[in-house]
Amino acid sequence: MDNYEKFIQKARENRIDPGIAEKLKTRILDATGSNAGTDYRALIVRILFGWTEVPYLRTGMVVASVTVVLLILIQQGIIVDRIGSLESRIISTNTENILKFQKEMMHANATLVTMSDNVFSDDSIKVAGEDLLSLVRSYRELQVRYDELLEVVGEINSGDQIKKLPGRDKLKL
Amino acid sequence: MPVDKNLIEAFRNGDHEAFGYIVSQSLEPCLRLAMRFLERSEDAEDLVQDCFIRVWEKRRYVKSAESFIPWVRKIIVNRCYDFLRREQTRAKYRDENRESELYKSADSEAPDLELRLAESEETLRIITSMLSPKQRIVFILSEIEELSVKEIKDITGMTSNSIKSNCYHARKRAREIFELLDKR
Repeated sequence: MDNYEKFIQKARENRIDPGIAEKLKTRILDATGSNAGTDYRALIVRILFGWTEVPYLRTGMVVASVTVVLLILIQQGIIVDRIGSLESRIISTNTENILKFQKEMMHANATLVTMSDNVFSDDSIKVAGEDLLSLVRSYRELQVRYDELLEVVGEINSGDQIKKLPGRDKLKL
Repeated sequence: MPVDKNLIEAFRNGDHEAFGYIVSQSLEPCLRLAMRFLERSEDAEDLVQDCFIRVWEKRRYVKSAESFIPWVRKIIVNRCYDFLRREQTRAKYRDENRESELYKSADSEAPDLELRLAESEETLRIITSMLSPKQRIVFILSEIEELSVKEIKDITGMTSNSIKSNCYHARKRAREIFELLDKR
């Protein structure tokens, strides 16, 4: 047995002073006796934050809080993204509507200028805006389909077709 | 040495007198254990006092008489480990100074140190103060308390490999320091 092993053996056999242990025992029993525990402030702190001394609870709370923060961040990201796309949609829709409206107004002006020479030469007529737009749309449709209409009218006038028209007998042709 | 079953039962039911008997039986080994881990005996006393207060508060969690001492020992070791980790930075600085002091004193006469080394407890304290907190815990539990790897594993929660590795390095270092001191 070398010196090191002798030293370890001696260290194992070492005892502490019994006086120290006796004093400590008194301190412990005083601290845990019936007079102890009247410190309500310490009790409240222990109730509120005592869980931090439990390793599993502490780790669990850390994991939960990190997860909640991550979820909030992800949610915020999604909301910001959706708001962004919503704004672009609103702008495009509005732009389209505005352009359409402006186009219709241009057509309406042009139509009114054209029609004023033929129709509204002498009389003064008050027309509601919606009626006017409806009139303009019908007029434009008539312009577009004018040729088709002429063809239909031509066929009717050609002879046999006129006999097939419904309600012909009521007409005094 | 297991505590008497009846005492444990009475203690669990809040019998303060029974707790007093239990403290009398188990305080000395617990205090000795804490003193081996910590350098200042005042710190060890405060820590053991806190541990026994906690034991009293958590008395309902005591499962059996056989498991009482290991449970208290586990509380003490874990608290000592936390304490050592908190003190690690300061201790590191102190150890570096102490180590250089030891190397110097190995070459020259240092009566104070020689006087202190007369006590093996003091020698042990010098040696363990130069180990890391983990090595210190494993070294004392293994070398001085003579616990098995399984028992150390149950107390500290470390893996068997980690215990063996830390124990090997701690023993090697302890021997080096002891031989340095012994040269004088």
